[in-house]
Amino acid sequence: MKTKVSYINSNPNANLAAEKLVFSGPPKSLSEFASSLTEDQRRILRTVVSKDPCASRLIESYALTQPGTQTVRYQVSDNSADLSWLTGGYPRQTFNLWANTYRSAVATSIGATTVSGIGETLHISTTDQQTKQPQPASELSVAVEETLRVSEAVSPEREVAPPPQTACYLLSLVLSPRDREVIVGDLIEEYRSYIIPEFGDRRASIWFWTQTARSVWPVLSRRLVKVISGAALAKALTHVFKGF
Amino acid sequence: MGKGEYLGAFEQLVLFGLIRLGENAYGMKIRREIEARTARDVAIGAVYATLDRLEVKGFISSRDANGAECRNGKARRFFRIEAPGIAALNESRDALRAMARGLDPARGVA
Repeated sequence: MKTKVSYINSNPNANLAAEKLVFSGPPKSLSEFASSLTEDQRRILRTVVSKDPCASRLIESYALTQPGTQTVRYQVSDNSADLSWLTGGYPRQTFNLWANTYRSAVATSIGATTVSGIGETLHISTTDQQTKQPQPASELSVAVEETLRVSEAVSPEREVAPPPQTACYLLSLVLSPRDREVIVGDLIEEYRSYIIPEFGDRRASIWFWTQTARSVWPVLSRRLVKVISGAALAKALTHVFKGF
Repeated sequence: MGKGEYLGAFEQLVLFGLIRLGENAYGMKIRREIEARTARDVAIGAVYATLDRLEVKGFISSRDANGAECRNGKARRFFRIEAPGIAALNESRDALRAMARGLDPARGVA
């Protein structure tokens, strides 16, 4: 049995990428694939998975394919605004790299042996042995994302910029002991896993400081409310007990 | 939830985020989910302040888990919506629907 995904682009910029697409060879595991990516490729793949409606729909189309279903037709929206974030912000060379990287990831995740771009149609073929059970689209996206993150965490050559220590310290000052580790940990995780790969070190640092500054008032006011309501309760109880 | 007391807009967003994320719901994921779906820039502190308020009301529950290397080993706190939270969410949505029924919001007239 073969599963064929027909990818039909009506957007002229996307057609350029499809014509350039060539991917072949034995399927790799997701972790093998992720470890072979350059930093640029990781950034592009992550951006595509998180932002591109077409990419997520391609995964979705595959996910909806039941075993035995031969063809899924997939139409990219003609609305140029859908792809404006891509065509407006990236040079053609990067765009082609994006196409190769993303479709390689899709091919890997579904166990495809070959992916070929021919004009307006992209075919992804799988063999009997390599056809996997369909998974929900979100699970596939998460699988790609998690693999990238794990790969980056263990990659020896990649040096990740540390989060701004002063910001961490200032935020810790206003947080309760119960929340300190959790909230600072969340910020550090997002900073490393999403913000740096997407925006680079400098903008990530600004993002971290902004998050810190904007978080101070909500957490501080919540703590004050708790303290005041606790004090009010204590006062009320004292008043009650004085009556006895 | 007492009669006449409804969830705020942001509280509803956070609860919807919890439902969407299921078992994988923790502060950072909830923040990103809200940001991605509503295009609203949200501070992590605001998310946690809201989560704390919802937990005090008994609408959600939390459990702490060990942290990963990518967060310097700091603990994660996972949240789950409870039955009273679902009831409160439904009640708030019903109230909004009841108020909007028969109106044309685009024109601002009945």
